[in-house]
Amino acid sequence: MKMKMGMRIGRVIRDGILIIFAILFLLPLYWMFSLSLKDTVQAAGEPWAIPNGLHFENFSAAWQRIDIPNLLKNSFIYTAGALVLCLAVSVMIAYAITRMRMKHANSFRMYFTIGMLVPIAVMMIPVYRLVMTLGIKGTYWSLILPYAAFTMASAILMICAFFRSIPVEMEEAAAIDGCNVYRTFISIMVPMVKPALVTQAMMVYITNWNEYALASVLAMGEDMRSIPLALDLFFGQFNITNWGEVGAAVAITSLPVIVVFMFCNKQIEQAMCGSSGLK
Amino acid sequence: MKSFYSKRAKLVFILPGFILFTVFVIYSIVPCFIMSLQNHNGAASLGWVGIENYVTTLKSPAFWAAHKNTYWLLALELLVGIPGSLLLALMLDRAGKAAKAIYRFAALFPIVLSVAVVGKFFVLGIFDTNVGLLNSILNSVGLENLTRSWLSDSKTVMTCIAIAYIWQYLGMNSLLFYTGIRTIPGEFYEAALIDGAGFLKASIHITIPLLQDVLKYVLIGATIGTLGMYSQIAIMTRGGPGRASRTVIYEMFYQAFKTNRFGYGCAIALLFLLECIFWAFIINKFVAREPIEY
Repeated sequence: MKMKMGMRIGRVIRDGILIIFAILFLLPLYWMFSLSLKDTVQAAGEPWAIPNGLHFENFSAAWQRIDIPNLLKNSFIYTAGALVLCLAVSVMIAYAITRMRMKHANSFRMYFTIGMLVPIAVMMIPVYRLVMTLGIKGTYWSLILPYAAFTMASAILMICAFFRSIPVEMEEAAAIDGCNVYRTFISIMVPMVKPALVTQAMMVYITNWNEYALASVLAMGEDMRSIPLALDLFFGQFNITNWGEVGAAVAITSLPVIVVFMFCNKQIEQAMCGSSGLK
Repeated sequence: MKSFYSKRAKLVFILPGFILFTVFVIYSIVPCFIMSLQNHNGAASLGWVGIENYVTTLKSPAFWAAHKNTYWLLALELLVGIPGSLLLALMLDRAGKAAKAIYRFAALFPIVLSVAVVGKFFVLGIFDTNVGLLNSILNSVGLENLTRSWLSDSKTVMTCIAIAYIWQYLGMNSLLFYTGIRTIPGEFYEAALIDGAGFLKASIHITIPLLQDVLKYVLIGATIGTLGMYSQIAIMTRGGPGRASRTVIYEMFYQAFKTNRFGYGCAIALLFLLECIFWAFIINKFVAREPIEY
């Protein structure tokens, strides 16, 4: 009986600690939304207090100060472009490595793995230089191409693992039916690795949506900024006197990810843990 | 099947990605290496200097001060962040249904948020001298003498950045560990419980040794991520106060993009790149060398 009591207390303590951490993880949510509704005085003096009114004018002020639709558009083009490119080339390479009986399949896989060992920020100068040489600075390609290249490593590894679990008979049947390799790939193999693609898509999207280092040297042009960069510059802007406005800007630009986070929570967790190849 | 996978098909499938990857991840290092042998201002070379940039880098006190900061971050992440997330994962495995659901919901929120938001949340919301949560709490419990300007004090600034960084990845790492824990067959615990082992004993003797694969994955991810940390610094302190919070990458950025010494910046980048690959190699080699059999 004593033992049971001890175990119950242990569980209460464990649950309590976990819930405290859950609250800590969600703190920015309260911070940004409560800040966005405060008037100038309260936002500056009591950022953690419950708002004393609902000052929605912060939102319109922030909206006027930074071109939020344009930012959303830029971030979307960078991220979605990189995502599509990364997944398209990765799924082809993964297919070639696992299925095409190539001589050096394993060396190829190892080669792409290097991408996981290189922190993207170290490559700021090399990529900057390359983008200048290619003459694509100031275009969307300046971020789409490096983002896609740097997320390929994890995508290839995961899609490879997925291809390996698909029986070879599927392709043999298609070949006998007279499909060529391209047809087989597009209409049979790609649909079969769709779960892996969805998972990777989510990972790649989150990574690139929040990328700051490369964006900060390649997308400084006023029209080309991505959200993280614009937010950072917004915070540092001349003399912002109303922190409520800052809260509103943060809240609006974070809203897309917050909504996705709320509704796709389970999938994000699966993506995160699945992409590690642990399952 | 041999003719099915023609040579041409192989090229079609491999080539686009191979070129993209090679150009940006591998080849881009070549011009960087060439620049590192020059006195280069970003736009044009001002002459060859041989290995002078490397010598200057290795002799520069700023380079080593930046190393100290980078490795202090790494030490905190590896000694506090990773064990912390492992502990949370172990607790999560034994938690009640409600607590488990709440924790798993919240744990990934920090990584979906933009690093700009996280950075400013810590600067304004937590560490601010006047209205930050940390000083407010210290004031309200009567520890006024502990309050300070956390981010403008060169003694505390790196630790504060580390806290923000650990906070951001704590939840994700704990869920990775938790995924690993769930793949361990339940019979192991039952056997241990019959032997009278408690939470701690079962964790140390059963769970943790069986988590080597996850551990390796998390360690490499955390090490590379921490060594390559730039955004948090750029957003929270811009390397300040003075140079107190410059990491190696920030030093590299500063030399190249703020003072236009690109040759020098390239030398730092290449030296540090080797360092990152070295650590990844070490972890790969020494953690979980032999797979443990169930």
